[in-house]
Amino acid sequence: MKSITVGALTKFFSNDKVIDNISFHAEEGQITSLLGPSGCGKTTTLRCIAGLETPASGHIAFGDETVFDSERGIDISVEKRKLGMIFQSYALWPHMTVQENVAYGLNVRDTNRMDIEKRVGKALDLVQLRSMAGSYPSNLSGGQQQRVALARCLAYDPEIILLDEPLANLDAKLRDSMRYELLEVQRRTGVTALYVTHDQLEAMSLSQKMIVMEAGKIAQEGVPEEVYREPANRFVADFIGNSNFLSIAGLDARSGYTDVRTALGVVRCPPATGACAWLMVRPEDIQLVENEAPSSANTYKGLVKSRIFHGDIVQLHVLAQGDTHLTIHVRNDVPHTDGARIRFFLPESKVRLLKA
Amino acid sequence: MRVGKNLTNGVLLLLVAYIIVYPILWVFMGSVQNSQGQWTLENFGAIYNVYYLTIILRTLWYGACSVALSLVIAVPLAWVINRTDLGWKRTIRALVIVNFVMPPLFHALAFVFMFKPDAGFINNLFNSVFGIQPFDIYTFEGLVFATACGLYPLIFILVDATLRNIDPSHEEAAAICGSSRWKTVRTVTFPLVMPSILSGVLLGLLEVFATFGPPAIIGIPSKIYVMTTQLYVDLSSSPPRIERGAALSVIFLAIAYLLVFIQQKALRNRSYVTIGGKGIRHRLLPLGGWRWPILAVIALTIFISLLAPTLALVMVSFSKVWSAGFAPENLTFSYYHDALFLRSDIFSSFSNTVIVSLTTMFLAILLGGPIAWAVVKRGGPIANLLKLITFLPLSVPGVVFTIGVILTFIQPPLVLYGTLSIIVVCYLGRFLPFAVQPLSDALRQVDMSLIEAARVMGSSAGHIVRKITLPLLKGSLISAALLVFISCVREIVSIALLYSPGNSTLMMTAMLLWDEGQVQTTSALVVMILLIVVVFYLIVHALPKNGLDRER
Repeated sequence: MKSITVGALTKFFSNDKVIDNISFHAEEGQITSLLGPSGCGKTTTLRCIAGLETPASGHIAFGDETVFDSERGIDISVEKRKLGMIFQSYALWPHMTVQENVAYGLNVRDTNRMDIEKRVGKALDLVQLRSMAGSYPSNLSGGQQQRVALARCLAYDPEIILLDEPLANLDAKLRDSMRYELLEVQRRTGVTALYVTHDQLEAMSLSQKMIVMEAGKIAQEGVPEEVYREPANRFVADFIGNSNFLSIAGLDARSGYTDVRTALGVVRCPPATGACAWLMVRPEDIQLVENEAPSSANTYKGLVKSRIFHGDIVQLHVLAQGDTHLTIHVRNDVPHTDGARIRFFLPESKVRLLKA
Repeated sequence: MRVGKNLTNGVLLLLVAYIIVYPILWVFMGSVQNSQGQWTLENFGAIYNVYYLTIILRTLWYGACSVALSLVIAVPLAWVINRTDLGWKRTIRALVIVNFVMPPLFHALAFVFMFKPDAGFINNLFNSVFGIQPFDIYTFEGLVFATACGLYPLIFILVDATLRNIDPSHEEAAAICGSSRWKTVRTVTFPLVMPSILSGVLLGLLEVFATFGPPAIIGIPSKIYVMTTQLYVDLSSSPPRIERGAALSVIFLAIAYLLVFIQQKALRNRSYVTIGGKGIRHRLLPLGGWRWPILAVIALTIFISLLAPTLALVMVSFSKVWSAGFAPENLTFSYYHDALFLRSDIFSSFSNTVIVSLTTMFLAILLGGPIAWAVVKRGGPIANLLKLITFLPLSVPGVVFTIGVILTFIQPPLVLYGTLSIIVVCYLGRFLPFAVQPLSDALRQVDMSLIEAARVMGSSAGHIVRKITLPLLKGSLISAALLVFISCVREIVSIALLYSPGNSTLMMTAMLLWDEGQVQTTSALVVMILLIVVVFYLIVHALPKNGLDRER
């Protein structure tokens, strides 16, 4: 299997810089996801790697084979890049049966007939659709079409597959099971996968490495847990998971920690590095404290404005000092209702200081 | 409320049945009756001979050749425009559309001026350079050529729309799989476009079977008769041999439905909903050095099929001696005066055209609006039947339908033959689909919730129509109306059969002037009709499709 290396990639649409000098590396045999809101350039990046778009500058390599290099004038055409790709619309050819769709990439490669039969069968087994080989795509359900697209893309054993929001058109339940299936198939084949999505949950649960993009640039990259726990800036923290943000009025460095002045009051935080504009804390990291407990650092009073039952958790919208609105996730057996007066605690280890 | 709805549907159904189904039925009935109204098979006997058999086979061959030549021009053109970086695409598309709306006599007349054996401009040009006059328009090949030059835009428009709307990822997926450009075209693009090519072939054949301009102007002088011209001859003989015409019509109706059947059969399981690809553009093949040769071929095609004919026609209309070409001493404006005053019936034919076209237009909208509403918003078996009947004329060659209209309204209870009304009834039946189609498309885009929201707020039905439905549909209503209007103005085949002295239209008068040998006057009149039609089409084109478009 091959890794993907992208260096200093830039792409314009008319005069809009949609990809702005980005570089990253996707390890071989892993799933790497490109995550970001719509218009952040993630799909364009994927299409540049596929060879469906031509970048303005930069270089792209699969393993040690350069497929695009603006300086050296290398631009391997899409059909020679030996990739697999799954499109958001699946792009199954409506005039071909499932069998013919899956066999297409093998036919193009002049594989012999016996071999094609065998490999198509194998690919369809992988997605448990051998019984549908004779059907036309229009007779399949969304999930089945998705699996045919996967089989078609794996049939000719590409070393890299590109996935462009493959689960976006499925309903929630099906998306969960297809996500698991994708992961299974990737593990079994060991193929290198680059996965584009706007769904943070999908990216976090599927990939070993997550690249968050914003306005054509990489905002942060890393393993999902690290990105979730240590977001690089407010954008990443906001885009991935739920967050409470408090504007920082001032920092006072102490020994081993920092006192941060906010509308809520002084919050004791881990030592600050560099200039910080925002204090961030995840809703699930805020703890409720007994009203009778003695007052201590990072404990504040609040008024429950609304209680929203989510099933597994309860979400409390809390109004605290300085007109601060906070969201707190608590266990679903917490009794507080609207109008309840509560006290809550921000654990120093869970609070993060972020750049703008 | 329910009763009211069913009543409206029922009345609509009766109306379209009377103006569409009844005439088509009369084609069959007329073919098995003699002029005294007795049942007989002698009409079929009268056309069961070598002469009529030749006419039938020639018409089929004429259709096949014209459509084949159109395909050869239209399909590669559509592909090049949609899948390469050719440039000039808007201009090429616009010129093809202009070609599409040219009145039916345009190509026939202009090609006579260009390729007449001893005097055509192009022949003269060749004569002065090479000393030969290689072209003869008065041949079967000439007839096919003139027809195809007016027909290829129809097929182009269908294929162009499909190529543009195919989800780009279908072709991208093939490239990802390792398929070359050419192989992708063969294995993915072409099969996906095939249904619209087949529709184009069918529509093209039906169009050629009903075409009158080239067969009348090129075919009759060279004794190459096809169905339309033979019907014209049969009906204008005295006494009119209308029963024989009905028998010939039945045969072409059968052929038309055989073609429709074959097309449906071929398209079974194959109506691909390929619209998708949210604004992602198709990958364009860089033409490199091929760009200029390809542009040159396209420019030549457009020059021969549109620009040169226009030039020829305009030049002739200003010439004292039509074949003398452009020279100051040959210049005259008098034929434009003649075009308006030469025949005493020109003014009446002008007012007839306006009256007939406007009446047909209003009736088509008045009838088409409720039909579109019933089909799109109400549904049910009656609405389905309504839809089926409304679109029936599209699969019936116009000339066959006209025979049916004549047979229907030549006898009680409603005798309209020889009046302007029969022209209106005939046009209404033929062009009703042109009104219903855009209105249905527009209504389909209008979400019922927009109307329901008003109803919930307590608006009356009349208020809703005035304040919500009509404003939303304004653009489509206007373009539907103009489409019908233009179709009436440029119509020639029905009027050629329905014409009676005093009941002519501008197109028919042009035809009559040509028969009298008034070459320049005919040209001047056709140039004027052409201007009217093109200006109206440009208006339709510039209109937003409906009120919803404003937000997009």
